[in-house]
Amino acid sequence: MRLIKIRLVLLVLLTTPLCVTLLPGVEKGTDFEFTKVDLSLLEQADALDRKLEREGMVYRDEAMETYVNQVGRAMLPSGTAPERVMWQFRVVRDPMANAFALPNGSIYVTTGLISKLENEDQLAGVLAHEMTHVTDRHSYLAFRSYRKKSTIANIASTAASVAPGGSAWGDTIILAGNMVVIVANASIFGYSRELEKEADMYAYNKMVEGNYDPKELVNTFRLLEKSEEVNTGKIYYNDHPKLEDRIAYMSTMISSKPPILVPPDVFAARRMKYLSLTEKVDREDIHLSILSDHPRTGLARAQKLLEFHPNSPEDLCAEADAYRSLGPWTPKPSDSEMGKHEVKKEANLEMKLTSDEEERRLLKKDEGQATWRDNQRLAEDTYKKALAVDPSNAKTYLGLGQLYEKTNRGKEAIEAFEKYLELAPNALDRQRVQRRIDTLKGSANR
Amino acid sequence: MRPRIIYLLAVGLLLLAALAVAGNQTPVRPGPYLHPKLKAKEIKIQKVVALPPIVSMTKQGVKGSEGMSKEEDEASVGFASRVSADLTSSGLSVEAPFTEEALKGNDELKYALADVQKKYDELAPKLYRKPKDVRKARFSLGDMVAVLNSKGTADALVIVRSQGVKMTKGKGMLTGGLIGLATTKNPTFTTYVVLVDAKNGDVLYLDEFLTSGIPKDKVFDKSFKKFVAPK
Repeated sequence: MRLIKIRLVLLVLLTTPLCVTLLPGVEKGTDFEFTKVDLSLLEQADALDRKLEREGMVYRDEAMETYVNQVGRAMLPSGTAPERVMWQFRVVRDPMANAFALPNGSIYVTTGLISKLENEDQLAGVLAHEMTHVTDRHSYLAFRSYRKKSTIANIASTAASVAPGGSAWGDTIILAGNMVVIVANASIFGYSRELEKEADMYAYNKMVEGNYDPKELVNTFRLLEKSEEVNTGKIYYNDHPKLEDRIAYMSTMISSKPPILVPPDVFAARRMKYLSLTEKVDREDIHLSILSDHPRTGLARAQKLLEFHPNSPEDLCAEADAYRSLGPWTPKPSDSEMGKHEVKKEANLEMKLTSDEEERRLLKKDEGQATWRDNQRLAEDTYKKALAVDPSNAKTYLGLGQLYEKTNRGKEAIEAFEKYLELAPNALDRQRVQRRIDTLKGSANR
Repeated sequence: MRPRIIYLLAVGLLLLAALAVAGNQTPVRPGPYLHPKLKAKEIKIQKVVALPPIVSMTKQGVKGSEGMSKEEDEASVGFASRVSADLTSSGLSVEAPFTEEALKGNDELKYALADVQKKYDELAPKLYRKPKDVRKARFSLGDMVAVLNSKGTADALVIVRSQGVKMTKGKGMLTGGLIGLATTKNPTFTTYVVLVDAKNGDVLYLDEFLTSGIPKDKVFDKSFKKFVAPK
């Protein structure tokens, strides 16, 4: 019986996902010698690059690509790239605020992080931090350590717990988790404290060298602490104890060794450039946030955009889309939603119910109905505001049509949809919209 | 040895033997699961758009899981064309417009495809958890799928996911030794075949099956032809 018990315990251990605890790296990147294991990791990293590209995850915008590459390259260490590293900086379509580096030199920043950051200095800090993981070969060291250890891990499952129910939210982590175990681990939990500190120190020095304000690195951590959603999982980029640690040691470093102040006009010009160039990415991120059932994040991003560009019809339309998609959810999580028990309950429901079912569940309550009405009203007002600025913005009519359709205003919905098709006759969703018009007309005739 | 211990050992061995036999049997396929309208033949499927199937492979070892990017790439080669060919041989008219060449330089279409695939992957855990609920018309991707039916002539979109798991020898022996499945086929692929209404995104058909290796010849079996593409 005892033997059976031991075997059962072993079986449970084998099938239970546990987290890998990575050992800090002991080798330095400069003296790195490649082993067979390292080469296999490199091969997987290259394959992940291809997969992200093939599956439409990489965000393509020439101006943005040039900009991110320019900021990234300014942070590179002097001299030639380390062996088997080819630097490339890319934006990936994922609304979860995250960044990760592959050992082959590909550094990815999610649209979620781009839209959360406020200025170029913060982006430079993130990129400098990530490139340290490449130059100091952190992935290889961690991968070697992982293979040597007897710890049992199932990163795919761990990743799934971060993005419960499978989601476009954190999609890159899931993908990376399926392919490059160590990348997922680092993306989710970060490397060891020592390696992360090393990367932060490099970022600090490089920012000072590049005439960026290193205080913005601390501000980045503070920004990442804030979440617009009820968080059911922790990732490296929102892990509060770790972030608090990082804020503390970076603040100490800044006060003990104050950097030369960046002239305010230089900082402001860089900020404006960042906000202008990322506006389109932000709108894409709002779309992705809504798609992955995180309209609260979408709304927060839209409001940030409107602070910068108050009368942009596209940004107003994005805000209206977010309000419309909120349905019965409040724009910000209520205190009752943030309770430990409620978070757990919400995570369970997310696993079981589809988003439509969850919406119906909330609409059964009076407060859900009231919130829904408020959100639809705010959406309508914002669409109208967008139309007042630019009556030829097709997307506004599309959103307005969807809003009217949802609120049973068939005639107005038809008009809005027809206007959309008139303004965007070659839209990819032409068939979809035409079908909606036909259905609405059919209902009206009945 | 006391008779009680001998008895317990014999029962244990019998159980292990039964499990070993069960492990080598082709599992019974509980599906396919059909949307009530498809079952009642209110919906007829004649023309489909095949989305690029997604193959994923992981190696399960004692120390955890690892990606198998190279093998995944190899397994993916030709899988999309096999899916299309098999659909055609089932009697359906097939469009497969999302080739790498077609998507190159067309970011709008590429993103639209990625968004639909993501939406499916978001729904998938709920779908696989309660596949019988397809019969209750519970699942839908919404009419966003219609963007992939740009001509408006298709009846359904075909979504295929094939997930392969290869156990390392160590893990296979250890797990197998424990539960009597030492000879379990390796790698094992679980393939999900899903049809969604090309206009409103309702999940019309779901089937799930296990194969040893990536499905080579027939992705869609007789039941598919019987329910989806009857002559």
